Order: sequence, then C-alpha cells, then structure tokens
Amino acid sequence: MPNANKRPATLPALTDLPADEVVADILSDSERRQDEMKLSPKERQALLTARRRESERQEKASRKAKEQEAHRIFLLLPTDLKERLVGIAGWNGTSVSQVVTFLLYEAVAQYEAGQIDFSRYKSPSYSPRYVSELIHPKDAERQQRRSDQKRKKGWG
Amino acid sequence: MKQKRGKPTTILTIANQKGGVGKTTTTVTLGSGLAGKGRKVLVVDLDLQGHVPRMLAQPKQPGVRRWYYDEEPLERVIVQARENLWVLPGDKSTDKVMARIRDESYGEEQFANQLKEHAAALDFDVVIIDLAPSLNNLQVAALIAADYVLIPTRLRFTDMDGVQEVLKTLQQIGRHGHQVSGYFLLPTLFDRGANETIERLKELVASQGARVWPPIVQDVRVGEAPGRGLTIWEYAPTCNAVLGYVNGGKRVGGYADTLQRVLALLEGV
Repeated sequence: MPNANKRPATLPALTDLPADEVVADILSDSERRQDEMKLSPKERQALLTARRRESERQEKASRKAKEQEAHRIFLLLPTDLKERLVGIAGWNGTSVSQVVTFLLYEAVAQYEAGQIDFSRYKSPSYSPRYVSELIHPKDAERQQRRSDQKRKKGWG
Repeated sequence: MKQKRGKPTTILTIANQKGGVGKTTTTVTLGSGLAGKGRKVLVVDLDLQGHVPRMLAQPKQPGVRRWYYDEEPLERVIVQARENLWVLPGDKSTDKVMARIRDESYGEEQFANQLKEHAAALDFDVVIIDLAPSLNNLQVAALIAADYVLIPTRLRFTDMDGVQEVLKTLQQIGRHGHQVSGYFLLPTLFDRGANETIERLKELVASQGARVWPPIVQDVRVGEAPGRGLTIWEYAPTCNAVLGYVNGGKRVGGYADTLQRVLALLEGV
C-alpha cells in the first residue's frame, strides 16, 4: 500500500537557488498559516484578537493621518530655528506643531497690522515657481545658499 | 520582404506539454496586454484547436497553413484582432505544416527562421506563440524560434511532469546550439488554500528559484471572458487573476504582474 502522505517529487531540487521575492513571501505566509493551524483553539483565539486589535489600530492611525492631510504643511526650517522650536516645545511639554501654531498666530497678526514689512528682505527668485525670495536676516543658511547660487550664475 | 528598422522582434513561446494549464489564456492575455501597452504584437496559434482567434472573437482560419504550407505572404493571412494586436490563426489544417516540417531537412530551423524573418519584416515588436499540449516538430520549431519561453503550469503532480518534459526538450535543443535567452514558470489556476499547491510551489522554487514567477490565482472570470469575446483586461480588469490576490495585506501575482515582467524582458531590464 503506498503512503498517502508521501508526495513523489517531480523535479530535482537544487540548493541555494534564490526565490523570487513575491513567491518567497507567498511561501512564508503559507508556512505561517500552517503553523497557526497547529495552535490550540484558545491560542488561536488570542492570536486572532491580537491581530484584530492591531488592524483596528492601524486603520485608526491611517484614518487620522488622512483627516490631518488637508491641514498639514511641509516647512524647511534653518537648523538653529528648528532646534529652538524643539527646545521651546520640550520646555513647555507640548508638541512642536502647537508651538509653531501659537507663535504663527502672533506673527500673522503683526504682519496684518503692518508691523512686519517684507519689502526690505525680498529679492528676485531664481526659481521658476516664485517671483521673489524672502529671507529673514537671521536665516544664515538661506543667505549662504543665495550667495552660492549668485556666484554659480556669475552674478556675484 | 522589406528590412525591419529599429528594435528586433522578440519571440515568446508559451509551452507546456500538459493540457489545461492556461497556455492559450496566458497567450491571449499577454498578447492583448502588450498591445495595450503600445507594442505591435503578433500571436501565432500553432494549436490545431484554433482557440486563440476564438478567444479574440475571430473565426478559426487556416492562417498557419496558408502562410507556411501554401507560402502566402504573412501580411495577407494575419488578422487584426485589436489595436496593435494581430493573430496568425490556426485550425486543424496546421497539421500540413507539421508534416512539411517533418519531411524537410532542418524543417524546424527553417520554420523558426522564416517566422523570425517575416515577423521582423512586418515590424512586429513581439511574437507570442501558443502551442498544443503535445511534443512534435511544431513544438520543437517554436522552441527553437523562441528568445524566451514561458511555461504556465498548474501546481499538481501531472502538470509538473509536463514542466519537466518541456525543460528536457529545452535542454536538448540547447545542445544543438539553440539556447533561449531565458525561460520562466508561471503557476496558474493557483489554489492558495490547498496544501498540495503550496507543496508543489515549494518544489518548483527549490528546483527553479527565481524563474518561478508569482502565480495567477484561480478566478472564474478568466473562464467567462472568452465566451463574451473579450480579453480579461476588457472583461474584468480588476479581478484577482489580473491584479493578484491579497496575501499579507498586499496583492501578489496576477497577469498585471506577469505583463510587467514580460515588458521588463523586452526592455532588457
């Protein structure tokens, strides 16, 4: 009587042949599922619960990230200013985002009241996307970049 | 025949001596997929059943016989099935071609050379050859013509035996100086829940490594599409057999993935 559990091989196996990445994933996933089949009903239930919780957590995080997407802005800050903002946030036990938002309310109000004037700090931009470049006198990094660009173009 | 300008024609042969593994489906799907990506494609039906034209809503015709046996120009016997997609249709009269190849000395080489030359003269980027599930002179000729061979296979004992037979034939042809640039295995009608399937996939990977491409999952819509005269891209472009099935949170396999891999071969990536 032949052994019903024994599968005769059809192809000679070679050693150390790297599998396609996706195929390797499929195989490891199926191994994982086979391992899970060996668990007791109690262990399997615990695993399912943990997995469901993890998936709910991920869904929640992704939903939150999507909601925040419209309010998010990407800023390039000079190193020293970023460090100061991080310091202030740490000192006050709050997030950098909240510190920046608070300070911006003050600064925007000043600008709208005419207390801040950009005209002295504006110069023509090298970028095709913008008309002007606005650099704060304390922003040494941007000033350095600007003078490098000037030199490169032979205008300096 | 005028000389082809630009890139040479690449020949992809779809082979497995076992029937019912998805050779014709793979041929039509890849042919129409490549055509959809802007490649000028000729699908050659060397199976006497003539299912390639039927799957593309075209009648069976003695195209292969008229071209090779009656020596009519290729451009007169090919049929345009879609934009960028032509078919050299076959039917049971293809057996005359088989007989001619058998009777002529170096018949297989002559057939292969003529196909390459005529397809290149008509500026085809790709020729995809569909074969019957058997081993005869026509099969050997198509493997000699091939730059690449794709072997669709179900992951079952008898189908895997068919794979081994194709590999042996490729080896023999290689010994006679007809080395293909590459061959790949495409698991089809993949049943992820069956232990046998997974065990056979492991076996295939152990033997062939990265030549085993991600599988095409079993999907009822693949079988429905030809009855409506549509390709799977037209009938169910978002089905699992096209986009792949979800495994560990991401989609794997599917004809869209296979198409990208074939495109990479054509681009020499």
